[in-house]
Amino acid sequence: MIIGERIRFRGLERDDIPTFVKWLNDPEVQQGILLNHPVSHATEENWFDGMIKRPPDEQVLGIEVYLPGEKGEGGWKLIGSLAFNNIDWRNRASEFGIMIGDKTYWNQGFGTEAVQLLVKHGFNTLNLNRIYLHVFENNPRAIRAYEKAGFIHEGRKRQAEFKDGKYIDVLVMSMLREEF
Amino acid sequence: MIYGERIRFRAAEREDLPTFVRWINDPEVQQGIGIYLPYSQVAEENWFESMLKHPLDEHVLAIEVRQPAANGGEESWKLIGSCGFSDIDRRNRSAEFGINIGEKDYWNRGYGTEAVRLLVKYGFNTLNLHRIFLRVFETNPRAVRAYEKAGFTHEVRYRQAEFRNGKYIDMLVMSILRDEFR
Repeated sequence: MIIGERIRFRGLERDDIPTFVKWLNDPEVQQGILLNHPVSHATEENWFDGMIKRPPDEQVLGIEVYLPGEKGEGGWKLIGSLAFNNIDWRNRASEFGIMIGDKTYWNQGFGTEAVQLLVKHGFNTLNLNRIYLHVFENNPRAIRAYEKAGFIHEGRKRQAEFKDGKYIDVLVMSMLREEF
Repeated sequence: MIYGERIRFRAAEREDLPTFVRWINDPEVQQGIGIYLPYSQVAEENWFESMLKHPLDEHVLAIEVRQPAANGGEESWKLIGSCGFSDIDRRNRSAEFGINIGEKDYWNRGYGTEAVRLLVKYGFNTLNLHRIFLRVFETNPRAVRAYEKAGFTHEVRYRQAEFRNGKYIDMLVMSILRDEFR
């Protein structure tokens, strides 16, 4: 478990799959991710089986928020996921992806906190030198979260994605170890 | 076969592999490509076999230069490098390409620029791409200049993305869009 202030990361379980299917089929959530087709439970189960064969450092983590209970019996609620992908160990560089799938937790700083916690894990535990991400230009909420977490704009891949009938730019942002 | 002015592209053959192996083991050539280890003939043969399993549009092309006929003979073609598209994204109509002029006698003579232009023309006019891009190390100004001359625009600088010769260097991304292609 990786513990932050209001959040923690845990490994995904098969029981989480229905929650992911719900999120991934939400048109608002789809606007920010690399998915443009309805996703079935069967497809998501196949994705999960492939995901758990990845190297441990690249397996997807569930983002959980602590909810204090009314009588002191608090609990953790799954609100999204994130992961490093294609870690390049020789160059000590990795991309990551993140999704806050539960929209009731948008605009409350949880994305920013999750990015900060992942970056800390990447630099302090995985010994990375460079962490970067791709984000659609029409996703200002995500861009702002990355900026608040300390990421720097590196450029824009012009018209790299076709979405809703037109080509949009994909931005690249990064953080170096010395900036952390 | 794809014909340009001084050059042409033909499909790479198994017989080209010893030449490719010679090029990619040359330390000067390695400075500009993704390979940083000694590369064996058998590794190159394995690469070739897996390359053949890719879609035809992504197969590696051999770059040849026209050699004028002499003494009543016929003109011939000399292999100087290779290029090709990789990971063509059909939905977004976008593709990356790579190019290597392995024959150093042919450096600094505009052949790289001409090959890039010919590949771009093929990508837009035949493959119906919308966006063509490439990655290049910041330490390779000759290549950067060739891409600029061929009409490419700088769009991203991946900071410290590659470790070479004891330090981290930046990787540049350059692209050309269909409406920028003349």
